[in-house]
Amino acid sequence: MGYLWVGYVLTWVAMVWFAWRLEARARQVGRRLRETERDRADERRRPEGDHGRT
Amino acid sequence: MDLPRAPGTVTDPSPLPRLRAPHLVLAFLAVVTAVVGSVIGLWVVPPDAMQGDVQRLMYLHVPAAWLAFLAFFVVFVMSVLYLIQRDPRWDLLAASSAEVGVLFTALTLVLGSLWGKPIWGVWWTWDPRLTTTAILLVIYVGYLAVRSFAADPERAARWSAVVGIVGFADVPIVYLSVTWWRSLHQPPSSPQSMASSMLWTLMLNLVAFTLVYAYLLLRRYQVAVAEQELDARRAED
Repeated sequence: MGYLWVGYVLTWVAMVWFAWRLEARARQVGRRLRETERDRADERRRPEGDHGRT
Repeated sequence: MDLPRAPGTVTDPSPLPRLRAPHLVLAFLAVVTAVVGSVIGLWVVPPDAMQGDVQRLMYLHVPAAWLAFLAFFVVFVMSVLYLIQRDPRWDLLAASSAEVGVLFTALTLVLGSLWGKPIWGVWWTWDPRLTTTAILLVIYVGYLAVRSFAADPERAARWSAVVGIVGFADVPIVYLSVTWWRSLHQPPSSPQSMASSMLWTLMLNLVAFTLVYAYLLLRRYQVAVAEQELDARRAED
């Protein structure tokens, strides 16, 4: 019975781990895309002639 | 297959939220069928008369092997399409399917080993089926390595497409190895050689694994598309 349980637990832990990693990566890349989108919007709102100077 | 359009355009500023619903539906269905399939496989269907309870590992081992074959078939088809059309979407789909296929192949080998120890008395033997499956794993780990080593994305896509096409030749060899050579591994079972309760349990778990594969493939592809878009934006800035 030990082999059976190890097999079932290992299978579903491996799949959940793979999916979890994927979701974390999706959140990270989604956040970075939104950041670049926001930076571009800020850039467009800047007055003419102001190229990032503070 | 309805492929997501290139992200970052005016009509599609962020691909991840737009496709949230399909992958959540797939994930929900996969979890439900996996739970039901595992409960039936572990407690409802009777144990094998000869092998006892450890035979229940077949409800995972066989679907994992079939889904690995399907994943590598998708790699093969997408690689051919990429070499013909040079559309990066086919390359991203092939790479996504290869990653999931490697997971299923590794699970096939580990589950087979866990079954082999109590039934054959060994964790591993250089049997034709086992050896060709191990080679399959090495081929597609190599496929992923080719992609990560090549600096130019276009070259990485081209080289890996060639590996994806040539490497698929091992899939029929794995399948037919038990009939071509003298093998310790049992030949493929047929519906006539199995009890109907065992067959239906196997089919249910096959559906569960197929849904898991579809979810992982879709999600990995979405991430790959979004990462490519992020790289493009950084290159522009």
